[in-house]
Amino acid sequence: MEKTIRVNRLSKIEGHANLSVTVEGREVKDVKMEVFEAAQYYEAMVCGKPFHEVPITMGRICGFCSQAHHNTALAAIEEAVGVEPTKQTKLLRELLQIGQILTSHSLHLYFLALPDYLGFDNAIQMASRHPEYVQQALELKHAATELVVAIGAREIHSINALVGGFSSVPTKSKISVLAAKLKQSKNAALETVKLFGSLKVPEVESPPRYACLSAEGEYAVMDGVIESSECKTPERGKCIVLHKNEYRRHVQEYLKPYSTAKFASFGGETYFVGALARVNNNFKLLSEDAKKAALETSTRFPSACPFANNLAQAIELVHFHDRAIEILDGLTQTIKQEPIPRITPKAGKGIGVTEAPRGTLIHEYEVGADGRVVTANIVTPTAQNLRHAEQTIKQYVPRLLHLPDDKISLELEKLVRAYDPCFSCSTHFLKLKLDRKR
Amino acid sequence: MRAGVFSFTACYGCQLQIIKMEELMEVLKAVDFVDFELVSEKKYDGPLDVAFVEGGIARDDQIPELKKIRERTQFLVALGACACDGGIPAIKSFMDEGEAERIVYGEEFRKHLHAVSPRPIDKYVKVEYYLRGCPIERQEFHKLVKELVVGRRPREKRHSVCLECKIKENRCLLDYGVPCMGPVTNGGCFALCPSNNAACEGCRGALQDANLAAFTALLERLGVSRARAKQMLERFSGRTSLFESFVEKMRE
Repeated sequence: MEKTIRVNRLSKIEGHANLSVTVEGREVKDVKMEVFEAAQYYEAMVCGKPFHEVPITMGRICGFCSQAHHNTALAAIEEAVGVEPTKQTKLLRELLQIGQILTSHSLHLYFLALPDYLGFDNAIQMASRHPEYVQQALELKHAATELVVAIGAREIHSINALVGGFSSVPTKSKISVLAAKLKQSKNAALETVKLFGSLKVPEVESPPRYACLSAEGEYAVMDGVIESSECKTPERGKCIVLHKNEYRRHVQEYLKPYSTAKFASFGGETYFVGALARVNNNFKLLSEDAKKAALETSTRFPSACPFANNLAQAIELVHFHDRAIEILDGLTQTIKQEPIPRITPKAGKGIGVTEAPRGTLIHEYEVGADGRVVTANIVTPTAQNLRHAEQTIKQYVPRLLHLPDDKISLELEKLVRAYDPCFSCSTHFLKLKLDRKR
Repeated sequence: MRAGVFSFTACYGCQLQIIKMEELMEVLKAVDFVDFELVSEKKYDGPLDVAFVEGGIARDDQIPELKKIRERTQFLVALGACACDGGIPAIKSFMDEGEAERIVYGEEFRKHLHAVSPRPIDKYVKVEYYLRGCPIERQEFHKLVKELVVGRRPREKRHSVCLECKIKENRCLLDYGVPCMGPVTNGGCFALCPSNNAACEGCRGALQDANLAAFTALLERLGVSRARAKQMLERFSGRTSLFESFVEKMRE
């Protein structure tokens, strides 16, 4: 016999989707992430447009991840037209990306995820009972916002990060103010690790392949090779390393009729990208304080439990504070307005790969001799995680079947939220439909 | 005041501007967001004093949803470039029918997309106020909310980005050969982009009495082709009636 449970329009995630689960007895027949966000056509809309406009347009794919799209498009376009940005430009872009990760993680952790664990419907209700958490969240948010606004001139959809360089840069004194502010808010980041380390989360088994950027000697964010490893095998066995130019051979995007978001697999295998993948694969490269904070929790990395993604985000808050402070301290004496080179368009191809808040983001463009885009391709973190989420839900549901339907829905929503999906990027929201066949 | 925040085809940047605003706690004292999916599960389906609608319409199933919101609310605010003018997603509306679907999803998949040509929301429902920008400016949202709470009818600004840029005593980018859309674009942003040495992209939509013939002639003198000028007008607000009819004429 079949039964249907629907939680229509899963909330507190970014975008519109339904989750449909079909159960017969104790067996899960089918899990579908039905993304019904209106499809995005950015890859088609930039065709025929001049290259300089592309990063600014691509930032509009998503308000949550705009700097990440903007930066990744910049890297790809610059490779295509043959421009090498200066060291200062690269550092400022990294600061923007870090600012994006800090704002995105703190918003997700405190606004969208935490209310679930403390038993509140939403952050507004939580605020009156736990002003201390709201205080921490606000402190993190203020510091990260100030960073993004100072570098990119606006928090959402930055203005001055152009192909070739920045059209405006902060003053030296602003750079020192930012460093001082982050040194203060770092404490809130450390408290966030303690808080999320103390939350009880279910142990859920999930497919063990995790992928992210990897680079020699650094916790890669802006460049590197794409490395995927199985976190459960010893010595991170079955590690696959891909140069970015090879991504098309291994990262396969495919479509499902019930979803406007694309799905992706890594060499035919299900995998996970995002904070948990980065912390799993690159734990040793985290800042000393981030590692120390992580080791003080009871969770050990690598972890194959998607709920640990929340804790991984908290750990990254500490790491990226440290990295941002390091960059800012280095720029305090040297920052200056650099001229943006005049770019003569030439035909070429370019691929940009960065670590967005939710994982590895790939942009690829082909630019014609007239400087206009010929083709564009984007692989988003959420598209890469959809298949992983479906498979984890399939493994998790049998353990929940003794619960009433509304509780099952809540638990599954928590799980989906731990992935921090972004359907605006992968197109775009989640309703839960549970079919119980008995 | 009972308010709802809704989203159609957009990037969520405008909703984010609301939940990230410094004055949010103050706003929450006066406004009860009874229907706001991004922050809370949907529980309320009743009448609203004000509905903030982000995003344009790009799927057939969004049309009845938007009309239902219109029936529920006294006052409807179009939030941001996509809802006001179509925004970036409406660039697709200038492509050949089905072309974008074919490039991104392939011909086979087209039937699953429920796509309609992207348009601003006022193609389908009456809009009381347009809060412009890509994304909206937090202080403008704050001001609008205060006006609505005290029962004052808000009035839209009717001046260009250029005016604000002059007040800020910026150097004129057009004088330096940079194709800037300040002269034909609604102000309210305090010329944020030109103040950062970047050209105005036209995200706040077509200024009501913009002299488009003079503007495109100016662009031509800067070496911008007519085809490119057309793309510039189509980028954020090509589906507003002023730009639409002008672009139509350019095609002839």
